[in-house]
Amino acid sequence: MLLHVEDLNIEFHDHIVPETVVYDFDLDMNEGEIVGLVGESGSGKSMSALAIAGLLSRHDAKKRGHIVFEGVDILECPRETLRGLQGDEISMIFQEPMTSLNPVKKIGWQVEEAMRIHKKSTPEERKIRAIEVLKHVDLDDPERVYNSYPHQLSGGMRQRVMIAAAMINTPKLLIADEPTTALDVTVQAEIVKLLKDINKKHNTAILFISHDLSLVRQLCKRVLVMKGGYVVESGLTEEIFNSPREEYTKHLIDSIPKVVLN
Amino acid sequence: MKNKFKNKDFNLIVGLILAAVVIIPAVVGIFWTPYDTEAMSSSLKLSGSSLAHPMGCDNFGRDILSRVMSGSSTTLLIGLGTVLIGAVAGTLIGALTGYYGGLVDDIFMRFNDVMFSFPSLLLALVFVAVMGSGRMQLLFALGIAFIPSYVRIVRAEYVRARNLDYVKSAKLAGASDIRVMFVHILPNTVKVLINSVLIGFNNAVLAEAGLSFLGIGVQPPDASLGRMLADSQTYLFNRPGMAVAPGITLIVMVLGISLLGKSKLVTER
Repeated sequence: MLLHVEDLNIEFHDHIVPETVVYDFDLDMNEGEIVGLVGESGSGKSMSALAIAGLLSRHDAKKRGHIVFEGVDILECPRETLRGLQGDEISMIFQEPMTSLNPVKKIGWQVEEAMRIHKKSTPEERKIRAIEVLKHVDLDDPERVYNSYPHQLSGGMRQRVMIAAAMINTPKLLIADEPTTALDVTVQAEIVKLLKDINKKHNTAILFISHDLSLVRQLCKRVLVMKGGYVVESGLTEEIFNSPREEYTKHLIDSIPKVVLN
Repeated sequence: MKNKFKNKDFNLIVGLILAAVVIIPAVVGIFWTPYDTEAMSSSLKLSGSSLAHPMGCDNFGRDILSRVMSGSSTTLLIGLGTVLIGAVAGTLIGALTGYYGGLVDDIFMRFNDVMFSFPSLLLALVFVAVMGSGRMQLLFALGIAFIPSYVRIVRAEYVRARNLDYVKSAKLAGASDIRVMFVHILPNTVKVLINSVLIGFNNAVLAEAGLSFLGIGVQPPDASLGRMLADSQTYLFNRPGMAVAPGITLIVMVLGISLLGKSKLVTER
């Protein structure tokens, strides 16, 4: 078992009345597995993902339950242990490729960051590795991208750069938080294909968060459906698509646009 | 004709020229002045401009050009020192409070508000009263008095940045808080920091001149622009040149630096 999440509750205390955004979240992931997490905006899917990535700071949110990654409980381990996992074993890509890169740093520097932190390496080794991962994410001219600033790249290219940066240490778990939402449809398909390739090549487990059910269907074997902080349904993707038990899941599936040609 | 000048950055050009006109003599004045700044001569008392003394001499027969050069180098060094103290301490405090937030942030910010509610000149005055007057004391007094303004600006940048995705990705790469704060976020604050450093420099220059004018800044016989203005008051009608020289120098220095702050080089980056 790579990741075991049990009874995860997330509560925010920044208002007078505490607000719970995730209730009793359970998830098990094996190595090399792709799991989808779907739900509407505000259903708690991103919050669960941030908690798994160890990004919810302790004084912002109160978390109960267990998130066990390879035997280490992310909610209880010291920060140094957590930082040792982040970027090395667990990586994440975000929804908005426009803001997820530092505007004043060169792409190469940003792609290398996780390697610089986790692996003893010379600048030359890092550059070779960075160019290699940039090539793996199908960027045409990795050398040029390496020396560019984020504003010189398109949205699709930036998302590829993000994936490259996330993959530089070949992590075991990649969390993709709506990685395609801000991109146009053709680029979406390419990114999904890229994630599939990465999964196959490096046996990286992917937690794919989306509200686009058709993408989830293409990519994920298993899927969890969230609503209002609860997981309302979970199981194999095909079963859920063919015979949804919950009314909410039915509505979600009905909302997939269908092209009808006369 | 119009288009030719459209892309020219006049603020930059004029600012550079004005700043250079004052700052180059000031830098030279640190090492060399045409005459000894403290050499008095009764025969040259209040003499007008001549080839030997282009700006004339003051009420003690001291060469005004030499004293303006030496005085503006004092002003320059105090301005730079003040900006350095204010910006470094302000950035550190602003970064820590803005990034972490919470109780420490609240305490620091309320303290900052208290500091802010006093005019910085008054604060500097209090520090001078405690530490005594002189160049070094003045430098520290002004430096400390200007810290709150930097704290506020830098803190705002960190509050904005700490929830941005690039900071999340940096954390997720395993970067420590210190690394996130000073390697990832700090370069993004440079733009606002440069502006406030330039404005802060001007404020420091004016504050130094003001305090010296009041007689609690740089102490005689050291030359200071503010001090020279104060001394010239009595002779304003028979020897206006004595006031004009340090006055114009002060104006040109402040104007040059603020034009630089308005130039496209600083604002559009």
